[in-house]
Order: sequence, then C-alpha cells, then structure tokens
Amino acid sequence: MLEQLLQAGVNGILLGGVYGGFAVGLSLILGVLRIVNIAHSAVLIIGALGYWQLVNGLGLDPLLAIVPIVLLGYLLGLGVQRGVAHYLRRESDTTVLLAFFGLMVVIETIAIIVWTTDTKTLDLHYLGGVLDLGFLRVPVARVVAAGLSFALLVALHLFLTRTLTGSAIRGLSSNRDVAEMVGIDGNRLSRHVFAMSIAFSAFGGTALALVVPFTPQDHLRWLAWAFLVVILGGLGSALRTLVAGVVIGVVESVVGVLLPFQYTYLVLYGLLAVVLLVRNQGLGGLKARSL
Amino acid sequence: MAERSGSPVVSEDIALAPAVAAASVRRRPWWIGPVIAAAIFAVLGVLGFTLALGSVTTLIVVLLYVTIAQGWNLLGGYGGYLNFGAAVLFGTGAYTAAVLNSSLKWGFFATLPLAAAGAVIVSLVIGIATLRLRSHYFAIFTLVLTFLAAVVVRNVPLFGGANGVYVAVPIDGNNRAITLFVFVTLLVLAIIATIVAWAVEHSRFGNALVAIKEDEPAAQVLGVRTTSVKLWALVIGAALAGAAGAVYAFQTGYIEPNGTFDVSLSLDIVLLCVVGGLGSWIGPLIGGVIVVVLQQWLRVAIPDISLFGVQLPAEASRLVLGVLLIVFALFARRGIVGFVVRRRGRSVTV
Repeated sequence: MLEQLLQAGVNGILLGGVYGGFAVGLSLILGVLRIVNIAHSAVLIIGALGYWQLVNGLGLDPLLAIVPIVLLGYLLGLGVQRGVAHYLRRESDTTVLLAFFGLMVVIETIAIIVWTTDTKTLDLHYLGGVLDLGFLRVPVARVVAAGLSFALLVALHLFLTRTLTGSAIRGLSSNRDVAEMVGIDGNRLSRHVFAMSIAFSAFGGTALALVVPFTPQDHLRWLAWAFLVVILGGLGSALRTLVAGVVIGVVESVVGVLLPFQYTYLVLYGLLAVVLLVRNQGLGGLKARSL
Repeated sequence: MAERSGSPVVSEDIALAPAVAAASVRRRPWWIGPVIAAAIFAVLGVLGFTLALGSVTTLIVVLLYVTIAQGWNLLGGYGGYLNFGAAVLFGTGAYTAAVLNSSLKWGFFATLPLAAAGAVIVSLVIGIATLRLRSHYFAIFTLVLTFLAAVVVRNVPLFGGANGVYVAVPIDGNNRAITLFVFVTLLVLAIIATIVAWAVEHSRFGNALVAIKEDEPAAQVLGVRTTSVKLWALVIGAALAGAAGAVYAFQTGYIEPNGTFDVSLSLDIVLLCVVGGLGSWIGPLIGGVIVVVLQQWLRVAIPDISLFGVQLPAEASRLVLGVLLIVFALFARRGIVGFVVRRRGRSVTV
C-alpha cells in the first residue's frame, strides 16, 4: 500500500507539472486581460490533435513537433484576438463569456469534423519507455512532459519578473490606464499577451497528449481541471500555478489509488466547490482582481 | 440609439443615452407583446393538430426549448449570470422521471413534479456553491458540471450506467395520440413558462435581477438581497428545465448519459435567448422558433453540401450555431427583440 501511495505521489507530481503547464495560458489571459477564456480547453484539444497529427500522421520527432504547434498557437491567438477579442475590450463580462462560449463550440466542432470523435493515443517513439527506479516505475513521456512544463513555467516566471516587457505586462495587469500613461502600448502588448496565452494553451495540449489518451469531446474535463488549478493557485504568479497543479495532480493520483476511479472526479469537483466557497473574493492575495 | 456596431468607443454613447432615450421613446401599448406571444402560441397549437407527425416533432422541440429557455433567461438574461450547464438541470429532470418510471412504475403526472423538484435540488447545490461569487464562477462551474453529471450517471447502477434507462409511454394509445399528448403538455408548460417570465419582468423581483446585471455592488447597497434573488431565479429556471426534462424522457422512451448531458443542448438554450433577446420575456419565444427551424433546416441541408469534394458531416450545423452566437454576442447583444423594441432609458450597458 505504501509503495502504491508513493508511486501515486510521484505520478501525481509529474501529472501536476503537466496540469500547471496547461493551466498557465488560462491564468495569464485572466490575470492580464481579464478575459475568462472558456474556450481554453478547446484550444488545448486542438493543440493536442495537431500534435498528434504531426507525430502519428507525419512521423515527426515528438519533441521537435512541439515547436510548430506552439508557433501555430501563437498565430491562432493573434487571429482570434483580431477577429473576436479585440471587439470585446470594453464589453461586459456577460458579452465576453457569450462570445467565448461560441468560440469554444466553433473550435470543438472543427476538431470533431476534422479528427472525428475517436480516442487518440500519441505514438511516443523513443519516449515510450518506462524508467525503472527500483520500486518506482515512471513513464518517460510523463517525465518529459512534466519537465517541459516545469521549465516553461519557471521561464515565464523569470520573464514576468526580470525583464522590462514582463514588467510592462504586470503593469498592464495591475492598472491598464496608468500603464498606458507611462508609455506602454496597451493594445499591442495585450495582442501579444493574448497570443502568448493561446500558445501556452497549445503547448498544454501537447503535454496532455504525451500523458493521456484524449478525444475532442471530453475537453470540458480539462477545462474543469485548468480552472481548478487557476482558482487554487490564484492569478499573477506562474510559480503558484505550478504548485497548485502539483497539489491537484497528487490529490488525483492518491484518490485514484484509494477509491474507484469515478470518485476521483467527485473529489476534485468537490474540491472545486470548496475552493470557490472559501476563496470567494481575493484570489491568492489579489483582492481587487476581477475573477 | 441603434446597436453599437463593434466600436469600442462608448463614452459619448453613455453620456447621451438618457437624453436620447427620453427624447425618442414612443411607448408602445403594453398589450403588443402579449398579443404577439398569444399569436405565436395559437399558431403553434393549430399547427400541432394539423401537421404531419414528423413536423409535430419539430414543434415539440420548439416548445421544449422555449420552456427551458424562459427559465434560463431569468438568471441568464435579466440577471447576467450565464448558466452554461442547462443540460445538467434538464438531464436531472429527465433522469428523475425515467428512474421513477422504470423502477417504481410511476406514471407521467406523478413524476413530473418530482423531476422539477430533483432539478431544483441540484440547482440549489450549484447556486449555494457559486452564486455568492461573481458571474464568471457561475458560468465556469455550470459548464464543467456537464462533464461531472455524465460521469456520475454513467457510474451509478440505479441510473442504468452507459446503457441508459427505458421509459414507458405516458398514455395508452397510438403513435399520434402519444405525440399529441406530449405536444399539448409542452404547450401548456411553455405557456406557463412564458407567463412566469412576463410576471418576473413586471415585478420588483425582475427589477432586482436587472439591477444585479447592471451593477451588483450598487444593487446590494440599495438593499437588494442579491444572493437570494439570484438563487430564486436559478431555482425557478431549474424547475422549468426539470419538468421539460421529464417530458423529454417520456417522449423519447429511452435516455442515456451522453445524449442527455450534452453541451449541445446548453448551447442551443443560450443561443435561443441570445438570438431572441436576452432579458426580454418574449425573446426566447421568438428565438426558439427561429433557432429550431434553422437547426432543422441545417440538419437537412448540410449533408447535401460538399466542400472540396468532401461531404460535410452533420456536426457542421453546430459550427453555424457557434458562429451565430459569436456574431450576436458581438454585434447584436439584445437579439432580434433589440432590433424592434427600444429599451426604455433605464439601462445603459457598458
């Protein structure tokens, strides 16, 4: 039992790294642009499907194939910003939610039309092995996905805290009007933050594809997970997102050992409800924030 | 003051709104709306008894959607709290009715109130967890709940798991009699729902909901008990959705988790209200007719279209509906009613 729990803990930490990676796009867009991107998981899934297409269809190297997916995510982000989000800058939350709900449906439907609803499993090539550490057995792909997420989140954290552009983004997040007063081009910067968030979401999709089989229509599950991570971790810090992801990953794995698998969902949704009740305002010390 | 077409500059709009509205409002007589609604119901009723059986099924969908959407509109349209999980409340009603019927052999009219009660209980749990918070939380929570509902139902043996539940026919008789029975029941439900929506719009309760949408903290300061108002709106909507679910269960005779807890239904309900007009009691009625007719037409038309030599699958109709939602949200957020009726100068949305 103890070994099983230890195994679950390690699995959970790795899974949690992936969760952090796929929630950070959501956290960024919410924290900086105040957009509740409910199309997030649809982007994740289309990223995962594109990745699957490159790896399984074209036989690309699973590590290299991440790069074009992230770049395509960035371009998609620029496009969506121009086409939809741009018009929503001064609109009410209701309007933004409606528009993004429509966007979610559009992306999901495109995914279903192009890739059908079959469950997809990534062809892992050389990442398919299992690391055997005595009593622990860890799939290589999971280590790679978690490692990339960890690295990306730390890089984002450094970018936001140590560079001038990062400071400008944080400025935009805390007060857009004042940020524009001191010479930050708010429109241009928010365009790129939006695109960056979508690129992160696309990366999250590739990390997801490395870890679990997926289908286009069950993406709402990943939306629930991503929001859980964001709500637990609060906005504005990539590192807290990572910690929240790890907490959820560990809870999920450990519960999965102790109870039948369907209870995992109940426990995590219960956790979501409790977190909502407890942290009703002030997320992670950001009391004045809109979400 | 037509719809602002996408322009983000609204400052002069706000400044002028009261003056322009005061100057240009020609008050329409109060009876115009009820007369239009009565006419729509009358036409639907007559069509139901005259058309072929296949077309009556379409009308049944219209009435089913109108019933749910009127309930949804209370919190979503007037209150600005979007419930993206209408399918959860609807499905709860459907499953309550189905299980009561298949395991306890309860009849149609006995299960109907209990189905509504079941949906109300679920809505209370959702509401207590999320309605004290800002509207995003509610929207997110209801959306992701669809997934949980399907998982729970699939794994509880009482609900038949992935195999679903079979439901007996509501009354004895031939096909046509059963269909007409369902049709009349839904017609009554839809009329009740519409009257409820009308009554809410013309009450302090409705005003409180609109105040919550406009500015929740301000409403609170002015003495609106925001949480309980929102909860009541959700509960009324849930009761209607649950009742509609029960009728659906008896109409189809068989329900299963994936088809019942389907985001498509939630989308349709939202779209109905947005196309018709959010926060207008007649909006869901007009939207219901338009959206369902459009949907049925797309379902027939799309398989005939081939793009680059590839047949478009049936899902493509959902694509059209999604795009429609984005377009209405961006450019016509008061829906079709908004084109016709001028809002009295009481509200300025930013």
